[in-house]
Amino acid sequence: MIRILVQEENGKIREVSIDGHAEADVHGQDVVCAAISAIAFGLCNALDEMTDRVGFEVEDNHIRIYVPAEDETAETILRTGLIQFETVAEVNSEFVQIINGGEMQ
Amino acid sequence: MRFTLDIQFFASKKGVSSTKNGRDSAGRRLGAKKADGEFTNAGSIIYRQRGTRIFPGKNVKRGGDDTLFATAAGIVRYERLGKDKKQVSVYPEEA
Repeated sequence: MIRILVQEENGKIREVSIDGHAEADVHGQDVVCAAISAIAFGLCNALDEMTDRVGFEVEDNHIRIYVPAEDETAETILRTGLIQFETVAEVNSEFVQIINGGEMQ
Repeated sequence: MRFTLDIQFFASKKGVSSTKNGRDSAGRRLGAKKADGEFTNAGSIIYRQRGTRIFPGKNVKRGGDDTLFATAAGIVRYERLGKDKKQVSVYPEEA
């Protein structure tokens, strides 16, 4: 199961972390994993290209994107990415779970 | 520099060797994002690093992955810290 945790502050996304394995099929044929991977890497590249206010952590089966200070461009791109993740999760709920972590403390 | 897509990045890796270029590409993404003397806005990333090669100075904070970002707008300055260390500070411009 891939878990996508979204944390907000004042209604803005401040952190998105993606962890786990889809396990929809064997490595190399896991189409659910491919969908999430493509969206996640596209999201990182879009954020990196269009704003300099976003931090990334990319390790094995773990991507964390965080926004240290509010930024409209980052917010728009992250909302778009979240909708794309939701589109995949809607029809693959046994392999992908989106968790709204609520307001950051 | 871009993150290189690994289309099976979130697939289980059991028993199958895989090219983890998603992570390696992150390695090439580290380093200075703002040069000495360059203006930066508050919240902007100044330096991406693993571990603390550069320490946070005035108006600079360290993020969870050791990334350094500005907490005020101003001019970026890389400075010596003690005998063999370096720090980065941001000095707000005089009005």
